[in-house]
Amino acid sequence: MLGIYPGILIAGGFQLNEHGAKPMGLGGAFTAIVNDASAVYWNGAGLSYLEGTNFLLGAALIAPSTSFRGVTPSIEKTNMKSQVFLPPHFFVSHKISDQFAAGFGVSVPFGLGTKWDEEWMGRYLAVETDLQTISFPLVISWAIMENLSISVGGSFSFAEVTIAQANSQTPFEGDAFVHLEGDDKSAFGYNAGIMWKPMKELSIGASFRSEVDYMFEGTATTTGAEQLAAVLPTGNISAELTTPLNIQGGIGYRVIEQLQLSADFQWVGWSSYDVLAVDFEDPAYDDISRPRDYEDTYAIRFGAEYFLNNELSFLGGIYFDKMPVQPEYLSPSLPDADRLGFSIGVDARILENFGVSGSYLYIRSSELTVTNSREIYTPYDEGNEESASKFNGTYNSSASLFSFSFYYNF
Amino acid sequence: MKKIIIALGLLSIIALSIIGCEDYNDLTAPELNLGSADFTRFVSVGNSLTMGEQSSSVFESAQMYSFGNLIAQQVGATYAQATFSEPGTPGRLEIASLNPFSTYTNPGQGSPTNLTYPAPYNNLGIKGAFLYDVLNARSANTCYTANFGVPNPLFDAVLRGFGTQLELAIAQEPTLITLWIGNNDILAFATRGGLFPPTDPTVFQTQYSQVLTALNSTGAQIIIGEIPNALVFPHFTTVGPGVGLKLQTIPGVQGLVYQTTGAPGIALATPSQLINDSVLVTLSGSSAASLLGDQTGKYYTDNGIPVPPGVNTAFPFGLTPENPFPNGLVLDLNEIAAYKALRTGYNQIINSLAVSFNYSVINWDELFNSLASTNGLAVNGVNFSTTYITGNFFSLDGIHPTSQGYGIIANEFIKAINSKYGASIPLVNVSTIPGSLVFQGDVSMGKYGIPNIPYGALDNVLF
Repeated sequence: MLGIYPGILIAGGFQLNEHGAKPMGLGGAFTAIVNDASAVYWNGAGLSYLEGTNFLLGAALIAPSTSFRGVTPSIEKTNMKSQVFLPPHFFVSHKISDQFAAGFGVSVPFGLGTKWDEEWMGRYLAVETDLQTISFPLVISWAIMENLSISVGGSFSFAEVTIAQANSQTPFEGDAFVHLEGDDKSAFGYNAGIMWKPMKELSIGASFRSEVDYMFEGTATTTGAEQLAAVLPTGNISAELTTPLNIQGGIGYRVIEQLQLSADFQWVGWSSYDVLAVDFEDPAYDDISRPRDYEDTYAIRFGAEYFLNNELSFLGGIYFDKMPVQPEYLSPSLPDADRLGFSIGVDARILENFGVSGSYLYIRSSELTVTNSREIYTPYDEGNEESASKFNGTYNSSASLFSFSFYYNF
Repeated sequence: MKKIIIALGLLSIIALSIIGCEDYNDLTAPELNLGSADFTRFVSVGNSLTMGEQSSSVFESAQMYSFGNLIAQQVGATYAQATFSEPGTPGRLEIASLNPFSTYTNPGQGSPTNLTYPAPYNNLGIKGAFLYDVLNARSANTCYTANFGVPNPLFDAVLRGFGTQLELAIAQEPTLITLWIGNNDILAFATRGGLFPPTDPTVFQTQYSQVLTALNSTGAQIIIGEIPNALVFPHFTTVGPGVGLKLQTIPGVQGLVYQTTGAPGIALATPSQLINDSVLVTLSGSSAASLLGDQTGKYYTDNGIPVPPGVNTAFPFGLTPENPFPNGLVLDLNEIAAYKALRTGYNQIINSLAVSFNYSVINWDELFNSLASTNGLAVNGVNFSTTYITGNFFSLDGIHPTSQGYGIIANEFIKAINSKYGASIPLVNVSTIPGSLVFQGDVSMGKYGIPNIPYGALDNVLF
C-alpha cells in the first residue's frame, strides 16, 4: 500500500512565452517582426536589423488561478493556492559589422508551479510542484542579403525541480509527506532563425529552439510515523526530463502606415514527454514510472500594433494554445486545458534612445471536465488500478500577467 | 506622458472587466434518491460495533466513521453521537513498533465531548451492551456485566440517566432504525476461551422479541444485522498458526497441551490443528504463546496471576500436562462447535422475528467469508482480508473494524436499505476513508509472527 503516488514534473503550462512586454502585448506573434533585443529569444535572425547596441530588461508578473470541482460525483470546489511568479528577462545585442550581429540573454523558458492545500482530497497526487529553468542563450546572426538574414545559437540552462505530496499510511493513521528535490546545473540546447523582408511592408520569419535534456539529481525525504521509517522512501533520486522543441513561423504586414499586423504559428514538440520517471538509488524503494503520453501541440497567435505617433504605440493580441495532454493523464500538479489569451499593451519611447513597454495578458482556459482519469487519488493495492478511485472532476483556470520591459540603445 | 497615463487607465479598466468573469457554474450534484426510506429521525441501537469502537477504545476520530454516521453523511441526515476526545475510553491499543510488532496500551483517557446534546443521541450504540441491556440497562450499575462485577460507565455516558436504549430510541419517534445487537451474548464466550456463559437461546428469543415488538410500535423502518461469525476474525486466527509453527520446531513435542473446562481437564492441540485454525488461540494469548516451554512460571509472575492449583511451573509451559496452556486463551473443537450452534440459533431467532415483522436482515457470512478467503476482498481498489494489521479491515483488537472496515459495514446497510425501500443511496467510497491504526506517540511481532500484546490488554474486548 505504501508507495508514491506521483505528481508530475512538467507540462504544457510550464512553457513560458513571456519574454518581453511588447511580444506579450502582441499575443506572442513576434517571430517575423522582432525589432528589439528580445530577438535573442524569439528569432535570432532579427538581430541583423538592429543598429548599434541594444539592451532590454524586464520581468513578467504571473498570477495563475485554478479551481477543481470534484471528485465526481461531488462538486465541492477547491482552489489552488495563489502564487505569483516573476520570471525576468534580459537581452543584449550588438551589431558587429554590416553582415554580423550577436546577442545573448537570460530568460526563463520553462517555469511555474502549483500548490494545493496539504489536506485537500488530491493531496496524494499533488501538494506542491515547482519547476524553474534559467536559460542563457547566445546567438549570432548573419545578414546574407540586405533583406535576408539567418541565425544560429546555443544555450546553456540549469533547472531545479521540487515535488511534494502526501503519501497515505493506510491502514495506519495519518499521512507521510514526501519531498523530492533535484537539479541539473548544466544542460545545453541550440537554436536557429531566419528572417526575410521581401517588401518594405512585409516580413516573414521562422525560428527553431531545440529540445533540452535535463538530468536531475537530488534527494527524497519523507516524514511520517517513526514506526514506518524503514519503508518510507528516502535517499538519492534521479530523473530525466526533456523540454520540447519549438518551431515558430510568422508573418508581419504593415497594412497602413500606422498599423502593423502579425500572425504566428507555433509548433511545440511535447511528445518528448511520454513518461514521468523518478529513480531511487536505493533498490529498496520502487521507482516511479507513470505514463504521461503528451502529444505535439500548437498555438496560433495574432497581434496588432497601432502607431499613434513616433513615440507611442498601442498593442493588442489574441492567441489560442492547444493543450498537450490527454484529459485522462491530467494531474492537479499541472492543470491544463485549451487556452485563449487576450493581451493589450503600450510601447512608449520616452527618450530618443530609451523606452518602456507594458502589457497585460489575460489567459482563460476552457473548462475541462475529466471523466476518464487514470490518476488515482486514494491509496490502492497493485492490480486494482481499474477499480481504484479516479480523480475525475472539473478544472477551471485563468491567469493574469503583467509585463514591463525597459529598453535602451546606443 | 499624459497619453501614457490615459492608455494605462484604459488598459486597467479593460483588464478588470475581463478578470471579472470568474468560474463557470454549470455543475450540479447528482440528486439523491431515497425511495421510501425515511431518514427524518435516524436512530441506531446496538453495541460497540454501532458505537464505532476501534482498537479496544471509543474515540472521536474513530466515531466519525461509525457505520451509522457514514450512512447519515451519505443521505444528509442528523446523527448525534456520544463522542469521546482522544485517546478515548480507557485502554486504547496503539502500535509501538511494526518490526517486530508490538502494541502499547494508552494509559490516558479522553472525556465526553457531546454531553450537553439536548436530546437523546441518534447513535445509542454502547460498547459492551448485551441484548439484555437494550431492555434493562439504565446505568453503569444496572448493565449486564455489572452482574459479573464489571459495571460499565459507558451506559452512563450514552444514556445519561434518561432511560434504557429502547426507551431513548422510542422517545425519538424514529423513522428509521438500525438494530445490531446480540453479538456480545456469544462473543464473550469466545474471547474468554469458553469461560464466559453465553446467553441461553430461549432467553435470547424472549428478549429479542420484546425489543423488536417495542420498536415496531414506533412504525419505524428497521434494518437488522445478524450475528457475524467472529471466529474468522484476526482475534482468533492470528496467534494459533504461529504457535503451531513454533511447536513444530521443538523436538519431541506433539502439540500444545492446554487446560479444558471440565473433564478431561487437559487436552492436546496438534500443530496442524493450530496452523489451520481448527483449534484457536485468542489474541489475548499472544504473550503466553511467546513463553511456550518456559520453566520459571514467568507467565504467572509477569502478569500477577496466581498459579492455578495443580499447576507446576517447573515443567515446560504449554508442553506438559503439569504446566498446561491456560484454558481461557484457547477455543478448542468442542467450544468452537458450541459457538457455531449458538450463533446459528441466534440468527434463526433474529430471522424468524424479522420475517414476522417484515424487516430486512443483513447476513454477514458472504462478506466475512470473502474477507477470510485467500484473495480477500477488493473494495474501491483496496484489498481487505481478515489478516491482522495488513488485512486493513480489522483494528488492533482484532475484533472491531478499522475506519475503512466500518465503511464496508455501512455499505452493507446501505445496500439493504436500497433494496428494501427502493432507494439508490450511493455507497461510501471506502478508499477515501483514512487509515485508523493508531501509532504510539513514541517508542517490538515476535518470532513466528506472534504479536506481542500485553496480558490483560484485551480483557474488555466485547462488541
